[in-house]
Parts: sequence; C-alpha cells; structure tokens
Amino acid sequence: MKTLRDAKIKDTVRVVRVHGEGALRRRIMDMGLTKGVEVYIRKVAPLGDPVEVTVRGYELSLRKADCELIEIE
Amino acid sequence: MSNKELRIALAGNPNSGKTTLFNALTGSNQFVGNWPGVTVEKKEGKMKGRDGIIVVDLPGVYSLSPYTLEEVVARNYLVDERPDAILNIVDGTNLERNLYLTTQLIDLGIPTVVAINMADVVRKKGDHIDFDGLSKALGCKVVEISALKEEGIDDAVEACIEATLKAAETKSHLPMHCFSGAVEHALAHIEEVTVHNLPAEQQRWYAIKLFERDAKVLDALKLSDETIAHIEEDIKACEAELDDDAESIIINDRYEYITRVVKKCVKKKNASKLSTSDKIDRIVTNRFLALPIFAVIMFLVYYISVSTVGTWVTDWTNDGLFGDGWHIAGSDEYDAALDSYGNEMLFENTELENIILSANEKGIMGAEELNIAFADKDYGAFTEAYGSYGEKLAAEGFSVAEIVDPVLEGEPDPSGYGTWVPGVPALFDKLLLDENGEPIVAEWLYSLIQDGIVAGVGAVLGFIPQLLVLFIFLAFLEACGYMSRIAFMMDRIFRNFGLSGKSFIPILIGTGCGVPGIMASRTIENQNDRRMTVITTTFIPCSAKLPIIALISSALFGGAWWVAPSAYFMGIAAILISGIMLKKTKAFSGEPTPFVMELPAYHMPTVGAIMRSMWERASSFIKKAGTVILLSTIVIWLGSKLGFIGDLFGFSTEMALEDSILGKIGSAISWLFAPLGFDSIKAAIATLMGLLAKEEVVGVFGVLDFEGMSALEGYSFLAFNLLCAPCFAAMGAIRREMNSAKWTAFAITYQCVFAYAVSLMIYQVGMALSGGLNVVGLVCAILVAALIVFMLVKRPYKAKK
Amino acid sequence: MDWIIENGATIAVSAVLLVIVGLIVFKMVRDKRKGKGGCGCGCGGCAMSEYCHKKGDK
Repeated sequence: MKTLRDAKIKDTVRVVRVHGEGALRRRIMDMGLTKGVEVYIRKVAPLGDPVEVTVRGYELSLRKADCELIEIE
Repeated sequence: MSNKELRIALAGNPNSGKTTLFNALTGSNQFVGNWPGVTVEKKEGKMKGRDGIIVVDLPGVYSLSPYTLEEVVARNYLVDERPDAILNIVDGTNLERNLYLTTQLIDLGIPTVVAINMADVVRKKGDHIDFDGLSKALGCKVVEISALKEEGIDDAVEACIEATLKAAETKSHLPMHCFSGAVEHALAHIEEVTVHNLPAEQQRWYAIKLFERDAKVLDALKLSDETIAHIEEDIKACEAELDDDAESIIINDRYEYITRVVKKCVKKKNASKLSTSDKIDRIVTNRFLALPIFAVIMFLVYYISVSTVGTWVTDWTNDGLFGDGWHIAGSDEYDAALDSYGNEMLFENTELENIILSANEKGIMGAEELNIAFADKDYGAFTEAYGSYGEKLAAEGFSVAEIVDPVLEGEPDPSGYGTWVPGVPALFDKLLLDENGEPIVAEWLYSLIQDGIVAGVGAVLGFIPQLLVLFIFLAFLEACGYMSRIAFMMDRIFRNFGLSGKSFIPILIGTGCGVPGIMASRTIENQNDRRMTVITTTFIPCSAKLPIIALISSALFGGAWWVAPSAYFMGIAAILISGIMLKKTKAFSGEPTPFVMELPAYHMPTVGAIMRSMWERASSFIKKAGTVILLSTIVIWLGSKLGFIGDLFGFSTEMALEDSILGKIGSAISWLFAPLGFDSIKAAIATLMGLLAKEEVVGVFGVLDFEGMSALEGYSFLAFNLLCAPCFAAMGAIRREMNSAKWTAFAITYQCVFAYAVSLMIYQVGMALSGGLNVVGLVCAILVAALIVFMLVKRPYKAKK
Repeated sequence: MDWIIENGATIAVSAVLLVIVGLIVFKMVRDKRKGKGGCGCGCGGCAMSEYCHKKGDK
C-alpha cells in the first residue's frame, strides 16, 4: 500500500482512503483529505517533519506518522 | 418572538475572521490573533446600535463532530441552546473546507446565513465568486462581508433576521444538498424509527449523527438497545453497498457536494506564480534558516524593547517623570554646570580619591565603578555609583559619605537651567511641602505618599514604554501569521520528547500574559500533553516579568545587550528541558498528539489592529498598577514602618528594615535563598510579593530602595523570579485547567523546584568561576545538573503491553 | 478643636487617600463579582475571559 508518506516533495497525489480510526482519522477527513482528493506535497519542516501539503486550496501541516494513514494511488 | 431577544451565533472555521466580525458588531475589544483556535470559549455581546440582538461568538471549528474541547463548546451551544440564527463566516480564500462546515450547520435546521469574508482578497487574486449561484446551491442566503473593514456586516445581520422570520413562517427548510441514494435511504429509515418525535427541523441532524454512530448523540437520545440494533442494520447495509464506513461516507459525500458547488460558482484564474505569502514562507520556514531566523526575531524583539528604544524612554520615565523632573530645553547647560560643579567640589579632593583607590585595590564591590567615574570626572556616573554602592563601601570601612553627602546637598538646582519640568514626586512635593521644605501633612503621611505609593507605583509604571514596544512587536507577530509557522517548525523538536507543535501556541500567547496562555492549552487534544503544557507555559517571561528583566538588566548589567533576550531563551530552554524530563516519567509518557493544523496565509496587519492590541494590554497593565500594585505598595510601606523599637512594638518612619514586620518575615524566609545568592531581606520580600503580581518585584524595590547586588546575584535572582511559581492569577488558571488540586500542587511545586535548581546552578557555578568557590554549594549544583542530564538521556518510560 | 486645625492638611489628605483606596477596593470587588477578574493581566479583554471567570459563578 502506498501512503502519503512515500510521496516526494512537489508531487501531486490522489487519496484513495484514510486508514486508522477514531478522532485522528475523523480529523484528517474533516480537514478535507477524503477519497479522490488531490494533494500537493509542498515542503517539509526545517527538521524533516511535519510535512506541509496543499489540499482543497489551502495549506495543511501533517506529521509523517499521520501521513502513513493516508493511502494514495 | 418580537419581544424576545434575538440570538445570532457566529460560527465558522478557525481563523476565518469570526472574532473580528464579533468585535465589529459589538464594538468590544476582543483578542484577535492570526492562528487557528484563538477563541476557545464562546462569548456574547450586545449588538452595537441595534437593540434586542445578542451576538454569540463561538470557537472556530472545522466540523461538528468534536473531539477538542473548543469543538465541544461550539457544538453543544448550537445543539442544546439552539440560537435563533447562525451567521456562518466563510473564508472566501478557502471556500471548500469552509463550506464543509456550512453543510453541517445547515443540517442543524437553524436559519443560517453564509457570510463570505475576505472576498476582496479573492477578487484581487482574479477569482470570481457567483454569490447567487452559491445561495441557490446551498439553500440559504449568501452575503459578502469584510469583517476587517466592517463592510456588509449590517446586511449580514439583516439577512439573519429575515431568515428567522422566513423560517417561522414556513416551518420547514429542507437542506438543499443530498447524500447519495443509499445514504438518504438509510437516513430516512433512521429518522422514522428514532427521532420522529423531535421537531421536524432537527430530525435530519440527529439522523445523520446516528448514521455516523456519534457516541455523544447516542448517549443523549437514550435509545433502547433494540432500536440501536435496528438502525445498525440500515447502516451496515449502506456501508456494504458503498464499501466504506459510515463516517467516511458522510464526509466524502459532503466534500463531493461542496466540490461540485465550488466548481460551478467559483471561477479561478490560474495563477501559477508565487504569491507574496509563498515567498515569505519560503524564507522563514526554510529547512536550515527557520530556527536561526526565529531566534534572531525573538532576540531583536527583546533587545529592541528592553535594551534600546525602551530604555531611552524608560530612563526618562524613571528619572524624569517619576524622578526629579526633566529638561525640555537647556539640559546641556545643566550638564555643563553639573560637571564644573563636580570638578570643583569632588574630583579635586585627594582624600576622596585615596579612599576610592584603596577600596578598589581591595576589590570591594562598586569601588571600580566609582573609580572609573572619578577618573573620567563624570559627575552623573559618580553619583549614580555612589547611590548604588555607597553603603557597601561604608560597611567595609571606606565611607565617603562625609565628603560626598554635603556635595550632593549643594548640587545646582536643575530648575534654574533651561526649561525644567518637575517630575511626579516633585509635583507631590509642591502639594505637600511648605516654603521651608517641611511637609504640611504629618510626617508619616508624607512618607506613605512619597516613599510608599509614588515610589512603588512609579517604579512599575516607569516600565510602560518598554512594554509598549514589546506589545507592538507581539501584536504584529500574532496578527501576521508568523506564530502558526513557528508552531509548524517547532513540531519536530517538540515531538522528540512527545509534545506537539501546538504546545508552542500557548507559550507564544504566554509572552503577553500567562493566564490566556494557560487557557489556550485547551486546543491540545491529549490530556498528558495538555497538562505538560500548562506546567511549562509560565516559564516564558510574560509582560509582567519584563519590568524585572529590564530593572536587573539596566541596574546591574548597565543595559547589556544580552540580558533581556537571554531571559526569553532561558524560558524556552526551561520548557524544552522540562518537557523532555517530564515526558520520561510514567505520568506523562505516551504517544505524541497528532499535529493536524491549518497554516493561515500571511497578511499585513492594519496599524489600527496592532494599536488596539497594544492599548488593550497596556491599559490593563496600567489598571493593575493603579489597583493591585497600589494597594500592595501601601501594605509594604506599612510593613516596613511598623515594627519593634527595642522591645516596644510601634510605628516609626525611621524604622530600620531589620526591625520591621516586613523585615522579620523577610529574614524568616531569606535563608532559603542563601544558596542562590540573594539572601537579603528585600530580595526575599520581593520574591514573595511577586506571587501577587510579578510587577510587584519591581514595586518592592521602589519602596524599599534597590541595593547593590552583584551582577551574578542579580542574574540568579532574575532566573528564580522568572521561572518560579507564577502570580496568583496564573496559578488560578492552572487550577482551572488542571481541574485537580493534586495536579495544581504538582505544577507549582515543579516550577519552584525547577527555578531553585536553575538559580542554584547559575549562582554556584558562577561563584566558582569568579573565584568565590563554595565547595558544598558547587557539589550540590553539580549533582542537580547531573540529575537533569540523567533525566534528559534516560530511556523513556514504556508501558508494559 | 485646635488639634483639628493644626492637622487639617493631614486629615484632608488622608481622607482623599482613604477615598481612593476605598474606590479601588470597591472596584476590585465589583470586577471580581462581575467576573472581570482581579488578575488584570489582560484577561479582562482577552478571548478566553469568559471561561476564565465564569466557572466560579456557576
């Protein structure tokens, strides 16, 4: 399974599914990371984590650990 | 309806401009910052210029399925108290995610009006929003506003009132958006079996929540097990059909619907070039430069506000406004007069020179300063050094008082030169003294007013210029969006010891005042992390601690450039070290909080907003000086004048500090601070009074006269007062956030012990390096340091599986 | 009577001072009751003030 974590900087990827459970998963989806949405990996924070992505026209920062929950094409 | 007050709730995503709109509507000065989650609790205000309308500002939320406390607050209010109308503020630059919340609000069945904020920014980018189309698609009125410029806000409220009237007439408003067939089918079933007895407009929301298996709604409706099992069948069937779980189905459907609407109603101009926001962002969050840039920015903020701009003005307020007075013109003449006076009366006196030289040879504290001033024939520096160190010299047997005091008495009168404006104490003197310089009121009353109130409150108020400069910087950093970036950058460091970058936001707010800083910890979901943030937030020097820093820096370090910034970085280091140490203990162990945070676009804050924020903070500082500080200066004055003369308890304006009540209390606790280097009664009293309000540390020195501490003692004193238990107000906030006496006690004990350890290390190591080695003390300091290092490198506690 | 005249200034100034202190105490107590809080470090006007001082009243 390929996840958002595997995506490289400046990649644009499409979300297939959000794994995990409970509050965190819900939060990720509430922020707009849902099935079929395009995500652009903008950059990585100064120390390698978190990651900043563009989704639905805005900037969102995500931990790499949380990126693993997001399956991409 | 007509005689009832109309309640309009402002709802929207974090950082969409709700609080700005609330301020515009109610005319009140609320705290507005540019990072998500500034409003943690709802607040109410009467609408300005219109009777009978109450505006409720809810915390910003992304969704109504809450897990952070702020989301619970918003959701509970909307669901349980059902306002008459919802004004949904939507950030026009970020329609998709904002409208996701809108779909949920509409489902609540409360008359809703969508107000698109920052539409001017959208237009500037060349995009076009079709408001009518949006209104039709969403099934509610859509208006355009600019909260910042206060445009269109009256129309928005008008639309809300209309919406309530319309809703009262028709009694039904089906949401325009629909879920996919299978979902709608299941929803209809659920409505039928569970919530048909609720008002029609509320049924849909409950049905959707039941479909999502929302635990809170399940609890609230108290359904029988039978019913739950029944609707569970419907949900399962639907999940199987769409190959996803119920929660995702709803979220996906909402977003898909929104995507369609936005595609239809918004025409985007394809701008591929970097926006200014992107360009700034590139630099300040650069992989290698980000942290140095942050350090430089914070360094500059403290350096400029304490050591440069602030000091120029503070010298005037302390020596002029709250001192003897100042020259508007002709100060050069006066300086020249003083210097020639000094040359004539002091600097030719060989006896004085010999005493100072021999004192300097013996290495007595302060003798060097006197010596330099003497050699330079600098009258001002000489009298200043004499004021600070004269008593120390006398105590060592090098009294110069007999020579210097008469000279000081005969100083030329500054009011005779140029245009002289008397300071506040001089003004009081004019009122309270007769022509012969004798007080017209009783001796004690004169002492109370001049030595107590004017000196104490004046000492605190004297630091206002520095605070104003600091407040301007903080307001700018908050409003421009840099703070969120700092949290983003800090996440990695923080996460290493299990804290979230979110923990940094309370700390940033804490730079203004610890109380809202502690409150802001509520945005952190994980309870362990929240507790840890509450404990560490007050390590950052708040604005009330700034006067202490400024005082020590100017009085003992001659305004050295590094003192004030070092206090800030000491605070950050204390937070990092405490965080790492605490996280290794059993009580705080656990996985780090997820860091899912929106980064707002940079924007140039308006001058008005910055000034408002500065004034808000400054005025409460002044208010505090006029109330709490004023009262406590009276208490301190009284405590220092009441005491034992011989065996008799009594009052005397000439009371020696050691004999007074205050002195007795001070000496009872001052031994505690001996290992830290500041066992004087005054320092002990100052530390104690600092618990009342941190400014009071400075106020105490105003009433009790600042005495010559060494620079090392002063820095140790500074460190302790910055890191130890915060003021009572902040402790109260800790108590409320922890909601547990045990945790509150732990937090305060930890802060005090940590402060003690840091001061001990600073003082003992400093002494050892400067030749005043105390073996026991140094050993203790090294042991403490070793313990801290051990905690830092120790393996974290892991719960057994 | 002479005593009052002799100390007129003292009495007048102390009276003014007492009134000021009284007003301050009155204001602080009233603020506390209103939930505005005696902390004064900006929380009266800050976004979280509602939470800050409401709990005690409930």
